Amino acid sequence: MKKDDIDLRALENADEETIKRLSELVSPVSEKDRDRLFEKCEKRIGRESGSEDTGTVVTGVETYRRPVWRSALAVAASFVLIAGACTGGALMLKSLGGGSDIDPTAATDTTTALAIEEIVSAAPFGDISGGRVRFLTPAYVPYVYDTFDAGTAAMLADVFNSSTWEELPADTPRSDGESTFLYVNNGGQRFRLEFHPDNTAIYEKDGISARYSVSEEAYSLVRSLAHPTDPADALQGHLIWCKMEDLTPDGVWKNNEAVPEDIFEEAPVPEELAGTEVIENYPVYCYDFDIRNIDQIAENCDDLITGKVEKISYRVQRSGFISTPDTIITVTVTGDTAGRYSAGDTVDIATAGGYVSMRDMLEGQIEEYGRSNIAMTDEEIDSQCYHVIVESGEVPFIGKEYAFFVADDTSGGLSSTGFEYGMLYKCDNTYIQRVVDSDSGAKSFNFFDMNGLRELLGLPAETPSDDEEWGAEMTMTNVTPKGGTLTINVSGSAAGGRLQCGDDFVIEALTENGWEPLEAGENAVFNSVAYNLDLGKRKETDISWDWIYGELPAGTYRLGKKIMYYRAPGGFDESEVYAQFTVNGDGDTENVPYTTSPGEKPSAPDRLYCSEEKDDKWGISMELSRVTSGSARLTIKRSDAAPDAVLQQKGGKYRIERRTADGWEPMPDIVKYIFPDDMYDIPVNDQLVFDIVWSWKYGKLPAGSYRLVMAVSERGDSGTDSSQEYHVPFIIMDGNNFADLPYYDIPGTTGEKAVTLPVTTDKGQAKMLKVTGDNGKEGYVYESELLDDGVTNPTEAMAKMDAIKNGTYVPKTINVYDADGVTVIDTLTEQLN
Amino acid sequence: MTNEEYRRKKRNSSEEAHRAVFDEYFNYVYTIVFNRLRSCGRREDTEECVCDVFAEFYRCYDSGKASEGDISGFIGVLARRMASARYRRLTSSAETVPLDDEAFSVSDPAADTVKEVEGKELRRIILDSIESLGEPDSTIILMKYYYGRSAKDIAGAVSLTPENVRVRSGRALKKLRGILEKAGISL
Repeated sequence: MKKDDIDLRALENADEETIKRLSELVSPVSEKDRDRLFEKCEKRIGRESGSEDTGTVVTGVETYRRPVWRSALAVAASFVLIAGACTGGALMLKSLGGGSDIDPTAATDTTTALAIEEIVSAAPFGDISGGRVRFLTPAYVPYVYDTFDAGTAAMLADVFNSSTWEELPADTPRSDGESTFLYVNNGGQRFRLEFHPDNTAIYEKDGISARYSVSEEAYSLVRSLAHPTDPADALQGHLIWCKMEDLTPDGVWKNNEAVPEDIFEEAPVPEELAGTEVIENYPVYCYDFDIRNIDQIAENCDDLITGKVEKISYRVQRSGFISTPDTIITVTVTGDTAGRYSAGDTVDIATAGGYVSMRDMLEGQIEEYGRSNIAMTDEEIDSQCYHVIVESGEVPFIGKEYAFFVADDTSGGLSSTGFEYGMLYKCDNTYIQRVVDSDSGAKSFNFFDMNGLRELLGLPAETPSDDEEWGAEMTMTNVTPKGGTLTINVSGSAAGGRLQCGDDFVIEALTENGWEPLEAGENAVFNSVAYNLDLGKRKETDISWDWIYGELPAGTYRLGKKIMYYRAPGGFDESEVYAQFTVNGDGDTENVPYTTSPGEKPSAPDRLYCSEEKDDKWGISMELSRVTSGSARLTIKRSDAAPDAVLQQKGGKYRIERRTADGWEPMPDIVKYIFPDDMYDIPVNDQLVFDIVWSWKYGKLPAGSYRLVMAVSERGDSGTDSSQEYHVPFIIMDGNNFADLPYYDIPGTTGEKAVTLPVTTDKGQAKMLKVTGDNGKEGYVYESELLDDGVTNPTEAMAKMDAIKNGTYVPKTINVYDADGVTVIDTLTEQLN
Repeated sequence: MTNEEYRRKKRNSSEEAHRAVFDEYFNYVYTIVFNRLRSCGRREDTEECVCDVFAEFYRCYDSGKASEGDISGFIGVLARRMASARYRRLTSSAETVPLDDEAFSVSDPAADTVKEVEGKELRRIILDSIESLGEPDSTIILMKYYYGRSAKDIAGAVSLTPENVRVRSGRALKKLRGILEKAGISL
């Protein structure tokens, strides 16, 4: 047995007591895996019983789930600790502290990647377990069958994932027999599979198809699901009507509401007539046109109004001594093709027939001919009512939306044209007319969409409703190779629907072949959340992508997100929106164009800043690189100067100080943060690397001179530690963009320009000139030092000239500094002509 | 949980009842199954078997086939049987040992009892020693050396960084060896 291992086989095949102890001592599986296993158990039960609790019934607003990204709870770290060996190996670690140790700026830093079991599917379209599916067979075409059960897709995915999918030549003969179609909407990827009895399937997506041989199990499962026999899965309530031309991979998803069993119900008995004897009356009407014919209905109407039914009531119309009831349908308007009513208006639509009390019915006769002509007692009159039934006598459902063909009636109100045949039930984007055969009483249904109805009225087709027109625009700013700030602007109107997006995104690179998605890391997961997007407002988010794609090299990219528009329960639309951005390459520190021609924009270099402490007893040095106004990488290096010392860094703790005219002053915190207690060892001849994001602590640093201060401690045997602080000065230059730096003419030169660096030293705001030092290093000298020749009066000038002539003059040497104006990197010796 | 409690929950919601049983007995079932399959199965085998156990439990209880009384006894027996069945399936490719092979020996009931008692005592000492390490070391030791979990998995469970887990596991192991050696056990 190795030194770093222990043989615990003795615990295997244990007795009950040991088992119970083990199960109480430790939970061997994470909460996330536990949830996953529970779902697996539930699906296993659902698949076998074919009934009850097989998953979420999708009838309400559906939360969109992309199957590739799994949900995981990610906790952001304030920094990333990278332990690297001098040989170059690196192990990425993340701080997962809780409570006050948590970095409050989760949005600006990397999220934790958790190991998630990835589903590898043999199917050419991948795993569809998180998608939606619909079936189509000749038995119910042009309806498609939707189980509204997420378990159906999961069930199919299980079989498809393990089935063989062998592509067949395009000219392989098709078998005879009935096809079964499976439409899949998998995270916005829509395709169709046509299964044949010879265990083959045609996979069609974006107009391109391919044929595969599949397992018998796959074919049988699709067939059995498409032809449910279990009463629980009966087709009723699961059929969605489609136009024939919409039976395409995309078209079948236009409607998301199943056709109801019926669109009218029995007229309710009014409260005041409850308990009375109902006498049914079937008057015979003569019509000027065929009231079942939608074209003729449209010809004879004045308007088409859509609205939600609020109430059913009745009124009595008197014509001479004849009283007749009308049914009054009170509607809240949602649309009006004639534009006479606005959304929200309330209108009453009258249709012939309904309930009337016997007394009201006889009122006219009593007035005309007197009470004595009515051979009924008052008691008999008050105990009866009439139900005048015109056509079916049924009424629309209260609370449901319909389209009503209406005409202006003589009383100034509205009446239904074609009675119940002019009332069409709104089923998502479809309007359903019910026609009852006058002889047989058989019901049939006709389906229309709004543009079809408008066409009947001679009106132009609607473009995507003005009520539902919205647009989203995204932009990326503050871009670095690791991330940027995404702004989403949503405008327009959403007619009561709502807009949402999730955390997930994809990045594509612009290549010679067009936009190509980048390959994501296998452990990439997104939070499964949905954010509301308010119309007319901007949503700004800091996004990091390096945990998925690594740091992006220079190039042109676009970040894509899906925005969902939930029109109504059971239906949503998706739009893909992109924000294009460019990642600039790392600057070349050798070619920093500090002296450039006016108008030329120098690139942002990746400068390296070193700690001030030299010849440190512990051999510790620190370097700061990849400096931006909000972050940097700090590398702590250790030599073998003190090999026996146990050196550690506590919790990644640091502070930033700013150089002012009064010296170094600590930057004020904008957020109180407690660093964790973790101790990080600094091995001999090795290094520790921290990616530090300080923007959450201090905000983004404005241009100026700063230094990062970090302590290293030595662990003493007696328990007392000693520590030392290290200082790494650096500068921030207008967010690393030199474009706006002021240039000035170098005195004594012709047109040569230098840049004023935002360096504040004890000499004040410094002007520095770029030079090449005596040892070839490029750096900066203070103009004041360069121009100071030590001569303050003519006598000194003469003495200097004499010394030069006789060779006794010692040329002046000044320091060449790094861009921070503090770090000396070379010297510059005066040149004597 | 008793049968009656389960049925009461089931009247509200099947899923709720299933989840309640799952949460209460998951560790127990997983431990039984893993304990049996540790020598021959992968993590996926254990998880599949655990799912089979709960699925079978739900079938039995939802269809009224299960007996009355406490659920733990029933589910424990179910877990052991199904784990054994899976163990046999996983090891079915093993060579059969001929009767006259030296490797085959007729079991001695008395020796088996002694062995069983010794084994139980050994397990008790090992678990006592692991428990004496305190948290989070005892969890780290079991998850790493018994369940074979990675430092990353363990880190999530004990709220430490994976690096800390590696450091602590080494120190805890050293300490555990010391405790076991004092008890006369070398593993």
